[in-house]
Formats: sequence, C-alpha cells, structure tokens
Amino acid sequence: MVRRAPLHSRAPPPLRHLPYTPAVRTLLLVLAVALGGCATTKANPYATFAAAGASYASSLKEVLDVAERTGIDATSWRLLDNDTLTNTTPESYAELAAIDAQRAEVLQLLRHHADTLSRYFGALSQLAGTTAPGTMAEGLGAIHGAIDTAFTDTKAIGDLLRGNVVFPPAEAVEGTARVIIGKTVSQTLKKELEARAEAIAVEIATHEAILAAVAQTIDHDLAISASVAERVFVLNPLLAEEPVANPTEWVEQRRALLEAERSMGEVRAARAAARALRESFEALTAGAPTKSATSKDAP
Amino acid sequence: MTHDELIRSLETLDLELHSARLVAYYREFGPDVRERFVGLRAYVAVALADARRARVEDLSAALEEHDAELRDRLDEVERWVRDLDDAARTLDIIGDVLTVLSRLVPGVLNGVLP
Repeated sequence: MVRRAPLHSRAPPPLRHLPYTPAVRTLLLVLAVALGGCATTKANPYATFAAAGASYASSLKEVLDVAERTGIDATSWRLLDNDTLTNTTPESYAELAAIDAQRAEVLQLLRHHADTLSRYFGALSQLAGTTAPGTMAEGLGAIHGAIDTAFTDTKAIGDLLRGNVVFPPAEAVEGTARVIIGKTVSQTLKKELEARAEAIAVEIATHEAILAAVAQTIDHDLAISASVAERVFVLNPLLAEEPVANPTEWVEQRRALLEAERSMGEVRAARAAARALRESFEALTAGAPTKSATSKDAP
Repeated sequence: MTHDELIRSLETLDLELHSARLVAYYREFGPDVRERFVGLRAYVAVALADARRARVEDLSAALEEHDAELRDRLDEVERWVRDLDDAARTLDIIGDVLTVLSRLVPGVLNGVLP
C-alpha cells in the first residue's frame, strides 16, 4: 500500500464555512420585524403577513444552503480522514457521496415548498386587497387562479415531504393545526380560509418538523467536521516531535474550530422561526393579535 | 427503542469512530484491519443517514419489536469500543450490530449490505 503524506502537512481547507450564524440571524430578524407588524397593520395585515412569508422563504433558503454545505463538508472530512488510514476506492467514495445527494434532494424539496408557500401568501394578500367595490371580475378570477395553483403546488410538495421523507409521523404534523376563522375576516377571505387555512398551517408545521431534523443533522455534521479537523490541525501538530511550524496560524485554526462548535445550537432558531410563522398565521386567520402585537390595534 | 434513540445511538457511535482515541488505536494495525475499520464506520454513517430518511411509522414497529436485541447489541458495541481490548473482535461487534440493523429495520443499509 502506498503511504500518503499526513493530512496535516497538506494545505488546510478554509474554515470560514463552519460558522453559519448570519443566515439564521437574518431569518429571525426578518420574522421578528415582519410578524410583529402583522396584527398591528390595520390597512392590510395579510399584506404584512405575505411579506413576512416571502422573507421567511428567502431567508430559509440561506439556512438550507448552509445545511447543505455543512453536510457536504462533513462528508469531505470523513473522506479525507478515511484516506489517511486506507486508500479510497470508487465504491467507498460513492457510498459516502450518496448521503450528500440524498440530503440535497430533501433540501431542494423544502426550498420549492417555501417558494410555493410564499406564492400562496402573496396571492392571499392580493385577495385581501380586493374588498373595495369595483374590483373587476377577471382580476378576482386571476387572483383565485393564483391561489389555487400555489395551494396545489404547496400541498403536492408537502405531501412528498411528509410521505417520502417523513421525519415525524404525518399525523403528528396534522395534529398541530387548529385554525379558527375569526369574525373580523372579510367574506372574500373567509371563504378561502375556511377551505384551506388548516391545510396551510399543516404545511408550515411540516417546516417546523423537518427543520428540527435538519438542525439535529447539522449539529452532528459539525461535530464530525470539528472532531476530524481538530485532530488534523490542532492535535496532530502538537503530537508530532517537531514544534508547531506556524504557531500564529495554529492558534487561529484552534480558535476558529472552537467558535464553530459553540455556534452549533443556533440553527435550531430556524425551527422557532417556522413556529412563529405558523402561530402568526393562525392568529391572523382568527383576527387575533400576534403574540408580539398589541391587542388594541388588532384588525 | 424509539426512532430518536436509534439516531442518537448511531450518532454517538459515529462520533466515537472518528475520535482521536480510536483513530490512533487503529492506525497502529496493518492495512487489512485499517481498511475494515474505515469500511465499517462508513456503513455506520450510511445507516445513520438511512435511519434519518426512513419513514418513522415503518421503523417504529420494528424498533419496538426488537427493542431488547438492539439495545443489547448497541450496549455491547459501546463496551467494546470503550475498552478496545481486541481490535478485530471490536470490528466484529460493530459489524454484528449493523447486520442486525439491516435485518430488522426496513430501509436501513439496503443499498450497501448484501
């Protein structure tokens, strides 16, 4: 067998991918600002909520990108670590690479799901703005068409997520949705919400459930990456007979790794954001204030 | 054993198999043992990914039915990995638990084990 050069003697990969906090913080900030205004906006709380939903979808994509990258990096660390012990074969490479491909498939579904949810909220907002007399029938028809399409797409992708890659049982997700349509909701919206609000709450609850599993997976991926990287960049140079060649770089590498470990738990915040979105939706459909809003200004 | 407990157990084993202690231990052995160690820990990673993707309702019944056997096997792995008394026997025990998992839990390791 051909012995390879020790991994720590090779050029180190950048460690900047490890911290992922900014995307999560952006997501939470966007939701805190947007959802806080939902029930306080008298003019069109649905428009505010639709904007929050669209922002949620966009920020969620950043979180999912980080999740995907973290998983790929963990596989890369596994492969490099294996390669220090034995020669890699095409088969052994394919086994681990398949994990990345399968994860990417789920995350891509979740991205599409967030997109279609965002479209639904956007169309719902338009519907909420059509209560003024004189709205053209064909305009209303187009909005209803957009709502139908967005809902159908959301439900189809949600069914795939719940049916093919179920993390919690589907019944557990459905059990979380108890939507009541409030008396203050206009007749146009009331009809739509009575038909579909509970189903939409299920779709948002699906995000909560999957994001919990994604957070757990990211935690483990980061733990594996940190474990291998710490051994390669921190421990091996110390255990070698020669002194550490570049102490400043060694100190920086060690700090970067330890800081990345500390930030592992923060991605759970993404799940909290999905929960906030669902609770706000339920409060909005009931015509009640969101938790962060004052009751005086409720619609 | 619940789905979550299975995932936690596999995560713990996966991390342990990448620890400095185990890697340093197996690095001292010949190429055959090293190759087997690397192959088995890749199977653990695949089993973990499969368990995460599996339908929970499919897993639950099998996990409940074979709860005692799985727990015994996982405890045995934990003991052998902790003590590291015998390199080859430890790998046998890890192989045994993966075989049990592939046999009992639908979808886990279907793609890689015969």
